[in-house]
Amino acid sequence: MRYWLSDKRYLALLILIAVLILVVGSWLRPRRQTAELVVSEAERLRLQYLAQQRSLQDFTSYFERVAGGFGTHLVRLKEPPATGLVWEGTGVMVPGLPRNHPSDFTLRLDSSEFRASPVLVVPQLPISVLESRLSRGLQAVNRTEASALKPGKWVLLMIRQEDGSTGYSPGFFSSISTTQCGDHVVKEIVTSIPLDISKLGGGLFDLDGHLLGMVLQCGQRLASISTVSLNLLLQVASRPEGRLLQNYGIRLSELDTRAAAHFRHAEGVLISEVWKGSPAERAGLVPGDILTRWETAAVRTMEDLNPLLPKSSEGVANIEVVRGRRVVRMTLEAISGGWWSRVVSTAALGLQIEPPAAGYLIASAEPGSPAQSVGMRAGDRVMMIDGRSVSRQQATQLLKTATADKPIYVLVSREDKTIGVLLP
Amino acid sequence: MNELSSLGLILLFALFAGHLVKFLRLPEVTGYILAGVAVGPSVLGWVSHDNLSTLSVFSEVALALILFSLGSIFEIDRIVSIGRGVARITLTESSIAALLVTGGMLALGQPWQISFLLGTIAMETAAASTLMVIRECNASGALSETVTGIIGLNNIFCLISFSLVAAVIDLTKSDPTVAFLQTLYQSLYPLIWQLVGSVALGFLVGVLLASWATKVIEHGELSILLIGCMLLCVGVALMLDLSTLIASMSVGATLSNLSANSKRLFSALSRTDPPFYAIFFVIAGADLDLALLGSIGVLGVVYVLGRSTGKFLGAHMGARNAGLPEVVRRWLGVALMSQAGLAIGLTLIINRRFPEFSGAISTVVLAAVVVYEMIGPVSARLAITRSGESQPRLSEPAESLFT
Repeated sequence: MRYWLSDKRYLALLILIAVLILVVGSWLRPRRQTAELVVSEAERLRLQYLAQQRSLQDFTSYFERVAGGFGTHLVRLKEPPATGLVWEGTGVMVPGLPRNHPSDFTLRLDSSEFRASPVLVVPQLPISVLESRLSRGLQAVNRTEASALKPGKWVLLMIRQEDGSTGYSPGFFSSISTTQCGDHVVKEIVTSIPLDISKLGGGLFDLDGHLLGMVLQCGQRLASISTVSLNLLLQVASRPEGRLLQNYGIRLSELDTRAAAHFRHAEGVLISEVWKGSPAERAGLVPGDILTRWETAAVRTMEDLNPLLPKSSEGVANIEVVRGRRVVRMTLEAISGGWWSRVVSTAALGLQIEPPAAGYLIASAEPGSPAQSVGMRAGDRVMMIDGRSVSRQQATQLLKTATADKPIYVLVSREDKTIGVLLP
Repeated sequence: MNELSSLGLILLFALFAGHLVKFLRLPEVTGYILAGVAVGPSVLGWVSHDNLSTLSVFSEVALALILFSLGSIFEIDRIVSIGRGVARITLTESSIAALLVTGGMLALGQPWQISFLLGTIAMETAAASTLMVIRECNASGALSETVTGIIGLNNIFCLISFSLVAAVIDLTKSDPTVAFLQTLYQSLYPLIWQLVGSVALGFLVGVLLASWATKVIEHGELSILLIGCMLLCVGVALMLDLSTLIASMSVGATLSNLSANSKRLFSALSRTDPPFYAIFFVIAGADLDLALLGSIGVLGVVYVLGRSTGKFLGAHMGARNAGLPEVVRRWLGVALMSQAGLAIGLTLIINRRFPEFSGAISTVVLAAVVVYEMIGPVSARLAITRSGESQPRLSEPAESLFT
């Protein structure tokens, strides 16, 4: 071996091979570099432009120029005062409309005014949709997901003011958080822009003109809700439950085995919520009724119902419900723009009259208790138990003795709705 | 304190501690390490972390020199005669140690990634301290020859299996947007590159060293040539992401195969390098964080026990299969306890590559290294003296300055 190696030619060959290995190997070696993220050309130019700005004035003029392009997406809702965003075609998304909203709205764009009618108004949904009768000058927003944003990015909050002019406030995107908005869990965009009531309905845009979110009422406060959540809310509203709630004022739930055993009825859909002032309440529906027939078709499950619901929001439906052992027939009337607007207004004289409080107030619901876990809260009023009005003593007794084998069906009144809950 | 005074302190302290431990019949290496612990940040704090990072250059060179002399065992004649047996023993002892550690970690409910990474790290036996003990004892015989062979191979095995496990982890967590082949290339290429490229580099430097060594006669020049070559080798290896360990060993292997009078070079080395070794071990000692011992935990105990048992049993079984004499069988595992350099290096790699597992692994390995650095050299010395391979060192009389 040693003699073989001592041959100069072999040695030279080996050296050549080693050099080759080193050269080729180091050339092939994967480079572990921190890759610079791709910056779009537009972003690069913008950064370049922003970097050249020397004063706040320059920045402001830049934002003004960017914001000027967003005007076609923004309309002003006169009553209740808010900004609206042109969502799709002539559909304008506005913050959730209040009870006894008008059935006709005035929208304002720059200097022109035009009319719009409600197409989607669901109680307690933070958004509503109006259909405008004018399409000229309106341009639907380009929506994007805020999750693509990096913290610290510029965002502009755009509103249309009462006089028809647009206004903007610049700020930084900070993060996305999850928040509770009424009955819904939504994604909130957190920015450095302070929100007040004048910004209600305003759109949050990135500097490329994409809509990131909308300022909406969430409980007692305002929040910028991301476009993803807005789409989700729209979907919720267009599902049969949402449409039933919108057109008739009832919420349905699947008749599960427990409920079926309690009501001694195996097929149908349980009416779990009836809204006050709704066509359903006027027709005499109460939670605990089981819907078994819609017009001529039998209703066994929620899926059966979906194709039966009328496409238009107006019209009359003959239904059959099972209440206790009786079968009750009734006629439901759907009202265009939602019955929500027809709920007796007491605001005419500037007075808001509360109906007399009935039932027994639930003073507290312990966290983790059976009652709380099925959705009862402090402030609810117990109206009926198992279809009967009860005295306070009876109510206390019944609530005390209810067991999982022998549950009771409690009707409670909460704000604008009556809810049925199977306890415990 | 600046670096030069630190260095001076380190050398003097090391010499002093080396003298001191001789009375206790402990190896010099342990004395150096203890001296390092004493002057290091854990105890006296004379040598700070900043000093240590500056002085790490010396460690690199010292380690390269140690591995260079280790490489001399890869002489082709010797590989032919004992290579197969040594390879088998290495395979047995390292795989059993890895198996026990991995099994123990899995039994304790650790994720498989952590278990397997720790298993591969457990394979390693520190080359430097073991080799120094052998040299200090002036040992020769079947045991020391086998031990030298094993620690040479062992480190390579450890590196290969670590890279394989790391590649598998990379592949399982690869995101689907990156092509499979791309991931495979990203994770396996470094392994192949480190093996082949390091050998190639070591070969080139070795050829340079061997061919130039024939022209150099004077001892001082020889030292310059040697250290220059090793610095070049380590530097280029670091530059090209190669393994300094394999490259340095290849230099030694190339030299011992190419040059007929390689013995002369190795003896020149043994007269040049003691200061480097002293610095190396003192720095290694100063780097040990005694506070880690408190946080060793159940995992650390299982690791230490699993690895020690595995090494001992594996070496015993391997030696019996290879037909080595009884005395070697008994003491081989004991001589292989040390663990340091590569284990620490691998934890640094894990820190960078798999930060999600690095917490658990660093704690266990660094604490275990503290234990093994203390007991490893002592047990190696015990094994060598008990097997009767130790011989009194021929002292070279120093010329008196005052005559």
